[in-house]
Parts: sequence; structure tokens; C-alpha cells
Amino acid sequence: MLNWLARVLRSSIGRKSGMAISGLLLVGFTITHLLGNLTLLQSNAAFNAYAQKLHDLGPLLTVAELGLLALFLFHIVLAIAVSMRNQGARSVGYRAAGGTGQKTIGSRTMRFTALLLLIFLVIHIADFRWKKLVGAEGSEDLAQLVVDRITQPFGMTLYIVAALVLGLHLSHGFKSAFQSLGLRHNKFNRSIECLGWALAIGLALGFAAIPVALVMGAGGAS
Amino acid sequence: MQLTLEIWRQAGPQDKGRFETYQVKASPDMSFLEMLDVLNEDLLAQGKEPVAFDHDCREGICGSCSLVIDGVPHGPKDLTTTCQLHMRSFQEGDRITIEPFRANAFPVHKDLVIDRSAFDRIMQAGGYISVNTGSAPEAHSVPVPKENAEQAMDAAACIGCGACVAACPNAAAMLFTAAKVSQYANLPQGQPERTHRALAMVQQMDAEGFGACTNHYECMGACPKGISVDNIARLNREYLRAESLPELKP
Repeated sequence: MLNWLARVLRSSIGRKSGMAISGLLLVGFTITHLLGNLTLLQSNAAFNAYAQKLHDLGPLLTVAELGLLALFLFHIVLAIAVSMRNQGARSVGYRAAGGTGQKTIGSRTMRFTALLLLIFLVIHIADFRWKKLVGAEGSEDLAQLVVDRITQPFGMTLYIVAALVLGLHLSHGFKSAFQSLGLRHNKFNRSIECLGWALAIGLALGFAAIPVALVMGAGGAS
Repeated sequence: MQLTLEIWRQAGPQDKGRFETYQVKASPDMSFLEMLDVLNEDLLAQGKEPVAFDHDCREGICGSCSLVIDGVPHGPKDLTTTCQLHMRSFQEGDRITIEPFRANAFPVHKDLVIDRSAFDRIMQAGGYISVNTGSAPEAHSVPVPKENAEQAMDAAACIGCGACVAACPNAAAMLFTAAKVSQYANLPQGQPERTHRALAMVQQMDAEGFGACTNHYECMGACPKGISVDNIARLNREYLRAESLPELKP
């Protein structure tokens, strides 16, 4: 089994399939993450109650967190491997900037948005996960911590930009994942593309809307 | 029409290469290669080394001609090889940049001539198909659904020119390999070696140093035969299917 996995992950198609599966699972996680965050718009108490429910899972939460970490690492390591291979496949580039017009802003900026998301992820984990890990466990008001962070000018800009970058990444990534897994057919190509755009726009606007709504007076300590 | 050409000149595989600028007088009715023939006659008359470029049938079916013209493999006209591109697609006084197909798996031999034998090795890795020899079998003895036949024939339209590799930002050979796998995967005659073929061809494609597909679809835009990226999805399926079957691996 391990031999098989090692062999598949050495091939270009195997790596792309791995990126596709992990990418789609990460999209699933991101959707639940957004749904959880939206409780912040209701009230701090609702968000804290949601956080508490997650904490009540106990060791299951740790398993989920480690799984998530593994998923991110898998996606990132494969992306680096594929990128390095691709960079090395053409040493001398073209002088004339041509192209056949098939690339999109999303596909063109995939590496760039990936890097930005990785930087954001490190800051994001340092912001909320790391502070909780080293701070007094459970004693603080997590919702207030989040609200304070994402409503101050720098934090707000960071989280809104990250949301938009995520949208751009998904505008190519989602449909690309289906292609990499060979899931392409005239019957459902259009649906996958539409769903991809809906997710990209929905997740970007959803995450970006939270700090904006909070500043405009949604949610609150009550 | 008077044209200025910026052409990649490279004496041999070890040479670093550089662009050189030439003036040429061409007729709008000439094909792109005929325009280069005129340039080469001028160069020979001046006692200079002519520009080396690949060509054979000059009717768009052999896959020999290449050239990246102003950044687009086979030039600006859709579904057209360089040899079938005519100078009427350009304007008087145009400045045209001509480069070889660029990929480390396609090393430059000389000037615009590249070594595309990596494609031959991918084909060889695919191997044979098992069919009965002897007198031609009755045409209807092996039923083939029309849709499968159409898809196989569409894939078989690939002339192996390498424009897909040249156009790909990652210099990937996925569209070519996908077309070669698809033309058999769709037909009953291709079934006995189906698993082996997908694995062996992908393995050879990777070994040649081509990049991986990141689904930009520039290949489909450059392909003079209109091969669809549907075939790349099929190759991905064929490979994943083959890897998940408990059969003998190459």
C-alpha cells in the first residue's frame, strides 16, 4: 500500500490527483469554517457557544486538527513538487509574450495566490490558534479576541484581502481539481464551472463580509 | 509585402543561441514556410548560413513544421499548422518574432529545428495492440458505438507536432499523451493492453522531463488539430484506473 502510494505520488498525474483530492477536502473545511464564523454576526455568545461545542469534542478535535494540518501539508508539499518540476521543464523561455488566450487570472496567479494564502495561514494560526495554545486555556472570550483582531484597520485589511485571494485561488482550483481527477463530461462541465465560481465568490464575499458587518454594528457582546 | 523577422539562431545543441534580425520581401499568397524559403535563398545568395527549420508535407498533416510565431505555436491562425499559415494573416511592415518550440524535453538541434524524439519514445512505451492478423475481418464483427468511434478518431487526429508542449506554461506533454492513450482506450481493439498502455506512457512522459498539467488549457488553444482537453481528463482517468487495478505493472 505504501509502495503503491509512493509510486503514484512520484508520477505527475498522481501528484495532481493528490492535490485535487486534498484541495477539494480543504474547500469542504473552508465552507464549514465560514458557516461557523457566521455565528459571530449573531452575537459573541453564539460564537463562543460554537467554539465551546468544538472544544467539547475533546480528543476528537485534536484528531481533526492534526488531520487538517496533514491535509494542508500534503497539498502544499505536492504543490511545491509540481511547481519545481514545471519550472525545470523549460529553461529557455520565449521572447514574445503570446499565448493562446486560454489562461485566466485565476490560473495565471495560482502560485502567487498559493504563497499569499500560506503566509496568511501562518499569521492566522499565530493570531488565534497559537495564542490559545500558550495562553490560559478557555478562560478568555474567544469571540472578543476575534472581533478585536479583525476590526482593527490592519487586521481587517489582512482578513479581507486573504478572503479575496482565496476566491481567486478557488476560481481556478475548484474546476481544475475535477479535471485532474478526470471528472469531465459535457453533461456536467458547466455545472462544475458554475459551482466553482459560486464557491469562489461565496467564500470570498462570506469571509470578507464578516469584519465589514462587525464594523457596521452586527453581532456584539450582548 | 516588406517584413522584419527576428529569428532565433543557434549553431548547435551546445551553442547559447541569439536572435538575429532579417528583412524579407514576401507575397501575401505565400505560406509562412515559403516566406522562409525566400529568406533562405536571399541568405544563400549573400553567402550566409540559411535558417534551419523543420518541414515535410507542407499540407498540415505530417506534424513536422513547428515554430513559435509571435509567441504562439504555429502562429496566429486557429487550427492551422505553420505550413498552412499564409502571409495574408500578417500586415505590411510587420515585425515577426520566430522562435523554436521551447521545452527541455525538446532540445534545439539547430536554429528552429528541435529534437522531438521524446514523443516517439512515449509512443514506443505505449506498445502494440493485440489484433488478429490475416485477411481483413468483416467490418461489423466488432461493434463500436458511434460516439466512441468519433472520440477515438478525434483523438487520432493528433499529428504529434508538439505545439501543445510549446504552448504549455509548464512544457507538459499531457495533450499529446492523452490523445495517444484516448485513441485506443475508446476502441475495443485497445482494451487488452489498456492498463499497461496508460501506465507506461505516463511513466515515459514523466521520464522525458515534461512538466505536469496545471489545467491552463493553452495546449488546446494551440493545437492545429483541435484536440480537446477532454482527452486529458480521460488520460487522468485511465492512469488512476490503471493504478487502482491489481494487475501486472510495467
